[in-house]
Amino acid sequence: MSNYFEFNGQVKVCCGENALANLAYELDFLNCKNPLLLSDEGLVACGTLDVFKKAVKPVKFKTEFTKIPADSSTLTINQIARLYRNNKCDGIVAVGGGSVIDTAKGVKLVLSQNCEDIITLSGNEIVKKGNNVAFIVVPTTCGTGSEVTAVAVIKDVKTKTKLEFISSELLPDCCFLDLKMTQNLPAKLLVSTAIDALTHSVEAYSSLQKNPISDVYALGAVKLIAGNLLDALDGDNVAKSNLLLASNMAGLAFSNSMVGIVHAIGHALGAVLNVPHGVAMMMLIVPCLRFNKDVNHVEYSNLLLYLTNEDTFAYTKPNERATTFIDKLEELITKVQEKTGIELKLTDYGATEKELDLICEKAMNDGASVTNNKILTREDVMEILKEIF
Amino acid sequence: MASFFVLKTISKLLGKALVYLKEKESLAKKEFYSLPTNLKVSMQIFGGKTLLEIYKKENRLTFSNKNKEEFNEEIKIIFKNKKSASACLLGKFGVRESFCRHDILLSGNINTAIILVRLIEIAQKYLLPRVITKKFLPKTPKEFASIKLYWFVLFGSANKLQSKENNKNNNKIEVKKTKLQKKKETKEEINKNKEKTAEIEIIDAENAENVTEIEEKSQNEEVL
Repeated sequence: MSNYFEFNGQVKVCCGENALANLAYELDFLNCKNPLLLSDEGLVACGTLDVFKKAVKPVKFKTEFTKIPADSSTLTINQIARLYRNNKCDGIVAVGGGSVIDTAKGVKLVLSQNCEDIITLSGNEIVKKGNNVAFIVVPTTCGTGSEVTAVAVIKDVKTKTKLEFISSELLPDCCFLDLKMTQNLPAKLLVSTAIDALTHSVEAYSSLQKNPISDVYALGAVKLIAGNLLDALDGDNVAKSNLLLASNMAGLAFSNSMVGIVHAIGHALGAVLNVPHGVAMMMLIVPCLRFNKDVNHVEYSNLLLYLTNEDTFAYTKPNERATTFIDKLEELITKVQEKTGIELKLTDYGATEKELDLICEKAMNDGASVTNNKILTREDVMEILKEIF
Repeated sequence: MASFFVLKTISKLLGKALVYLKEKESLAKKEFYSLPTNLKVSMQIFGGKTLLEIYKKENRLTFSNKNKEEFNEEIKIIFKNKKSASACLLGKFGVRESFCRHDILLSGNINTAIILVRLIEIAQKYLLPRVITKKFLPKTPKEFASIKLYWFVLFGSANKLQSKENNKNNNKIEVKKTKLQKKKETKEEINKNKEKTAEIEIIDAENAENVTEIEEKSQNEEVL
């Protein structure tokens, strides 16, 4: 860990029962009278958006865009920005998962910087403070933590590449964690997004960019996920609320500490094989932690306490704690995989040996590979891919 | 903390080192060729002071540390201040750690920038002593002694090296071409020969038919 770090936690978090009832107040606080509502067709179809609109009464949305695609794209962002300007909106409310939130972040960036094309803003910490655009996020999954992260990944339609944007200008003013939005999440999605949040926490705690403040959030998130995942799968609402909170804490941790090899390869799997992000995390976390174990054994030893309990930690020999942590994590993933039937081999997603080189190349050039505590080589990545093939 | 002049000099040496490595070091060569063509990169200190400008044009790498107007770089690597630049370029921290410390701003495609990070790390492996690099680079074997790189960086000519290597490559390509041509020629010859023999066979067959016709006629005449 370096002797200099930066931490930004500027998002107000409104969490708990009936949190959404306070949306009207928060919009008024931000001087927002005509917000643009952003969501996707999936949430419209399953009724979640109706639940949201009912929960936030008396707030009404004159302008809506509910056709955000599965991958955020520059075209969609520019289109929504034009809609915002034409309808003289003065704020954004985004209701959805990672894609909706990333798209909303992109729109906010374009509007605050007063530019026509978001591509000119891609990069790391290159954007200056711009015009004020009220921005509220309501997540509907319990994994991404995007409501508190200063990162967005947006597809450039022209070059068909994914561009990364890292800037505090992407952060919302406020986010709402209300169980109503995630209560009816299907089991597979609940598990995969929860493991995504767990991966965020573990990687944030053991990355090259780790810092003491992020560590606190990361450890808290690991403890919440480990203690509530199985109960949430059985339908316990308190457990589901705790997972939503854990995902938020994990997001705050990794937004400031970044992630590592699990996400580097996971992003590549998503890009080449369309493996859902949470599922990719489930596939990769164990082999990648084993790869990193020699440089992260202290961190993994500490994490054992939060993943299990004081007794397991105390009765495990200090030099075996890192290995035990990874083994316990593997047990947890096996349990949830058996309960949900999620497939965890690349061949289940149509992978062939020919694609492994391309996945390897993309993983090596992913931003997350830079902040992994151990430098990756192509051979290392190929070995991991063959393990999960 | 090094002065701006010293940082500029070090950056220029880095640029020269990259030219040598992309010709002579296999991993650097691979990374260089995976960069997009016509890529322009500038390395600066916050406030607009240029340390290095790099241009990949086809197979050549050109560099300069004069701030050219309208360089229109696709990637800008910006150190927040002179201290950050010194710490990174002189090996107090690796490039990755500098990024983690928020010492570096980046404008442009992050995925392409990561290839540059690896190239700079390869250069640092050869330029800086192991006592310094062991903090941030794993121990990997060198393909040649660092002294060769130092010699080139101090006394060599980047243009000459690239022209020489390009000529070598062109010769190799020509040799390959002539070999291919020869193969093609021999194939063509064989095919021509085949055609000729086929023609001869046809002619022979025709002649043979003619001969039999003549023989039959002569036999018929005899009979008559």
